[in-house]
Amino acid sequence: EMEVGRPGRRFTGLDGLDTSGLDETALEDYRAAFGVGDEYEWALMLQEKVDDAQADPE
Amino acid sequence: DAALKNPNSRRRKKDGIDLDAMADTEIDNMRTRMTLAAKSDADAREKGQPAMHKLKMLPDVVALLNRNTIATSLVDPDINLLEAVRFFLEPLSDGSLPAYNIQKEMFAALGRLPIGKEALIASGIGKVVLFYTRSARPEGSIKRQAERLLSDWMRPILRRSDDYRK
Repeated sequence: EMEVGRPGRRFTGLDGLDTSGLDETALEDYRAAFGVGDEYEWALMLQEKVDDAQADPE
Repeated sequence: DAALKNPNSRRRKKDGIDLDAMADTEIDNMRTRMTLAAKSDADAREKGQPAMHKLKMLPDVVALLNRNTIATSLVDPDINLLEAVRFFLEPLSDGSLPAYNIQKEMFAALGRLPIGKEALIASGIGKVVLFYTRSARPEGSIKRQAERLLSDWMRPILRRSDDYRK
């Protein structure tokens, strides 16, 4: 009943963004404002662990 | 003279310093209360108790965030109320999200506030909103709001520079 694959697309920070033409200041501001993408990685990993356990109780 | 003054008129400009200082103090107090509530919820959770502190004060937080006349102070990076909003939205220590009502109200408020680069950097609110777009847990409407906020906030920062003087 539950979807097995990871649902939805993911914003992964600068990944997938066209950063050409951006100066270093803009990139620094970006990182200061939105991080490098791993700030809440621990929570995502915990969530996936729970989801995996529910999808496959064995 | 006093009789000529309309008590309902906007006095912020005339008595600007006092009113603004009062608003700043009020916001600062709320920031402290919110931070404490987030900590108390984390502690309660660790002890296996229900975490209700954030939920209990949610109406007060929403009432303050909805006051348009003090929007500039609400996003002031020095007062940094938005950092406390981040504490409200952050995942709990077991990776779960805060109560849906908290998510709903905080995202609605974020959508109304004029949040600029300095406020984003001081508060870290952009980092937690980015997390909501990456997690599979939030409901669709919350995820859509998170994505919209990010794109609104990122646009001015990632603006192509046409300043070649440097």
